[in-house]
Amino acid sequence: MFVRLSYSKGTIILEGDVSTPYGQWDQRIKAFRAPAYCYRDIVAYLQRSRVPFEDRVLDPPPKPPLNGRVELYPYQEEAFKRWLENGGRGVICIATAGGKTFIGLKAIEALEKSTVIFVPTLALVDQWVERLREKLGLEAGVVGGGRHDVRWVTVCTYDSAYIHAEELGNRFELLIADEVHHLFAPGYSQAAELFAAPYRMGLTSTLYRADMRHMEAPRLIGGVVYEAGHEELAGTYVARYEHRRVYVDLTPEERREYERLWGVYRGYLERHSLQMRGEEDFRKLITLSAFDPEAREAVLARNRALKIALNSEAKMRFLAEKLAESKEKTLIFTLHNSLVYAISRRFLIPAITHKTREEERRLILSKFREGEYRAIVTSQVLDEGLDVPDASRGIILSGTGSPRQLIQRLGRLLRKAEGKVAVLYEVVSRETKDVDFSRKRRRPVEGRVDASG
Amino acid sequence: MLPAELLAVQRWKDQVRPKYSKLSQRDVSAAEAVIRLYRESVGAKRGEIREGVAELEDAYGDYRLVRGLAALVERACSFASKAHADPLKVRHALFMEASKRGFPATPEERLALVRDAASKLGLTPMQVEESMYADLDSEEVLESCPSVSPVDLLKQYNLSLTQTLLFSSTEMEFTASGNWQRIFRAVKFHGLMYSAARREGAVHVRLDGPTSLFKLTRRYGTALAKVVPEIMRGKPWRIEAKILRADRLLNFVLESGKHGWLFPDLEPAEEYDSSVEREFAEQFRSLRSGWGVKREPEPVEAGSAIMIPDFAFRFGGRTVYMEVVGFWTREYLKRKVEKLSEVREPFIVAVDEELACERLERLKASNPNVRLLYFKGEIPVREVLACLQPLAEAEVEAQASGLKMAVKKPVATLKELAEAYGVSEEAVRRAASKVETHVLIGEALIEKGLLEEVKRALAEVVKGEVPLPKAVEALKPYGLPDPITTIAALGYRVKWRGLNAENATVSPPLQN
Repeated sequence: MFVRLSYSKGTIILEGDVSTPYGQWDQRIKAFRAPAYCYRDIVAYLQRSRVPFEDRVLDPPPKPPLNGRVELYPYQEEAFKRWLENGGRGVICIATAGGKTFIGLKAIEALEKSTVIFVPTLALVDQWVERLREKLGLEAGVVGGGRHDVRWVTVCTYDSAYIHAEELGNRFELLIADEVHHLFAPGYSQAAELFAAPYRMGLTSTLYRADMRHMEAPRLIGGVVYEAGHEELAGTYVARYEHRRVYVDLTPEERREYERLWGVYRGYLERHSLQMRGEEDFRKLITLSAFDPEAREAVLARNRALKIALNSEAKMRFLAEKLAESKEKTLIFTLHNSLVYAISRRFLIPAITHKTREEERRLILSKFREGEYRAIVTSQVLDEGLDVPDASRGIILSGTGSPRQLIQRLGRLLRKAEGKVAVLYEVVSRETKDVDFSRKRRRPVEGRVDASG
Repeated sequence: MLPAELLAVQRWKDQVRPKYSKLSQRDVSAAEAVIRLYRESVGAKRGEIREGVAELEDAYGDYRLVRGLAALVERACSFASKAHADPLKVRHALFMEASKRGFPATPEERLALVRDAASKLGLTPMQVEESMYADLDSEEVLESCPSVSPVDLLKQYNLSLTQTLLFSSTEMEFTASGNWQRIFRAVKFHGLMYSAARREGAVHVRLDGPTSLFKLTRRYGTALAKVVPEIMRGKPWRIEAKILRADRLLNFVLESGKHGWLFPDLEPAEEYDSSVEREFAEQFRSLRSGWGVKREPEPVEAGSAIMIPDFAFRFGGRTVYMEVVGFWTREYLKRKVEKLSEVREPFIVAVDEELACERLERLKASNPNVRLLYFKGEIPVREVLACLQPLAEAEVEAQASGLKMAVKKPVATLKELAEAYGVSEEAVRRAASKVETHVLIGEALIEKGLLEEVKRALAEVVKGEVPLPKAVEALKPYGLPDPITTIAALGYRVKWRGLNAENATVSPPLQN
């Protein structure tokens, strides 16, 4: 009885005369093979069954010395403790600005295991690299955004993790997935399957996904081990905020054009007795539009109508008014990049989109922090996890209707500052489809996953 | 490769195929229009050109075709940012100004701000407006557009559609008729796995990836798509893939015979030809051993794996393969030999000892078909031939024993007969004694009756020592391929004086 475990391209190869759980016979190599994420369970099984084995799976990069200690707030301490008790697996849900990063840093410090950190944006790559340097004296490697430098601790975008999973999958013992709800997108969850890391930590403010794929958490990273929402943290650790919904009217020309275009769209639906009950129905219409010129015209008309509602001149006037009213630091959100640049040109406000290069993004944020810039207009890149210092006012000019986006956009503003109340304006065009989007944004968060699940 | 939303497919039963452009006049004119748009837009902004593309979409109806063609043309174009000053500096001067003095609520306020920023930058307000976001994609200016013919563009579009469909593939099977080394290099480079089997004389290769074992996955789709152009270089080819679309597994079949005309005419890539190997082939041919030699032959099955030999030697129905190993380690060689353990054809592994990366330790193969041949520097032609000869001997014996010849002509050379019966000359020579009507003399079979006439003619002429040319002249009417050999074979004594036959003499046989 003997088994030799080795790693190959996101899988574990099991050579020997013992069959193990998860292993499947691979005729191509004449050996058993298992997905890499089962590594922990396979080793546990072999140990439990007292089967002698040789383990050649992990190949961590050399460990540098660590300098520094991570101090946690009591609630962060509690979260970390529960994660440890769960065997070093699981998801920690803490509201935006609750300092999730520090819990991850603590895990690196306490476990001293080679670590890969998945993050959704290049901005977050930078932020983690800075924090690792600051708190643990670690020079982290980076994979993503044109860099490919693998070190004992490596920060990696989800995209790069997906692309390079075969090559990176056995280099790390601890996997930290920041904004872990991304991990459950079909492609990214495959990346999680191709990594062998036995210790796994997910960090997020909300695990919920509309497609319910967050139910995969127990298999891929572990269930929820700790959860603290806004209510628990508000006032004590993060600032309070006030949400003001503002309705504006389309200009008469916009209204006419909107009605005309919406009519084209509704007309098509009625002629063909189609009902739009959800995203699925709409996808079908899109498919239809590839063959049917009339359907395409309807879709285009709908898109133009929505654009009018989302980008209404009335919203621009509201924005101009607010900007004139007070000089407090303001973040402006819109859905479309084209509108970001239009606002940037019209009001001479710095813009950040996914196209903004690294140095410029850094420049804008640092000038905003120092108060030299009083506003930033952005599409989506600031949505997640990124520290934007003490903005006290937010203006949502359009949104996609996802509850997560709203929560995270709120989070942007919730930086702890002395006795501050942040205000979030949500600007909605009256009597248009935009109202639905706003309603959707306020939909409650549901579908929780427990550690036991 | 194109964005997924530009892929249109046709489906019937469980089959799927991209809606290819059939190179119709209508498509050609759409391609022409797209190419013209870009070629005439040198100096225009990318955003503006794209608006032009949108107009063409409306004009031609099929927006996916137009947009796909435009994406391919745009990819081949070069764009540059045209700014009067560094856009980053320009816009931050503006942002600074606005943050300090308050954001402009009216066009007049805005203009005042722009004017002040412009004078600080030493630019005109117009130049400031133009430069502000000149580094955005949509603001970049088209510098040059390469020329391409509409039909070539459509063929390239069809190839891109194929690759885009294959992004959703879970596995692919193919056969090809060449370009093997490049195909397998691509397979390995893109992290794919393969298994191969020979069926009906063709090698069928199945491609997927390590985790395909556990579930249907599109993870390797991109890699599979990237191998396709290499397969298409090895005409004729056939590709069959499983496509996972909307939770249904569909079949996608493409054959060069039926569909090849839709795609760019890709030539097999010229392989880097190592001079060592080329010299070897030339030297080997110069030996005239009867063995044919071919470079880069078809792949050889080794169990479910594939070996791509450097040479194939053919003699009659026998084939021997040879792979030349350059730089190597013991581990590498061991794996190679292990892989060969299931090879069914004779296989020579020629290993250059001088290129060993560690101290040499000779390995032996367990498979009797595999022969390791160590050499230094130059592939030893004679040693290779020595490996082949026992096989040639066996082949010749087999040919000779199975050969039954009925010779009609009074004189027939071995070469003629070998060609006529499809065997080696040596086999004909060995089987010659079985022909009762003829006698083997030198390199030819001569009819017995004719030989008697030759004997009589010689006896007439050679009555004592006479010049050899005289005897040869006398035999001319009989059409012998090599009269001197015949003369000697009949017992006449030829006395040479130097190398010139003119000076030689011939005497009658000794009486015993």
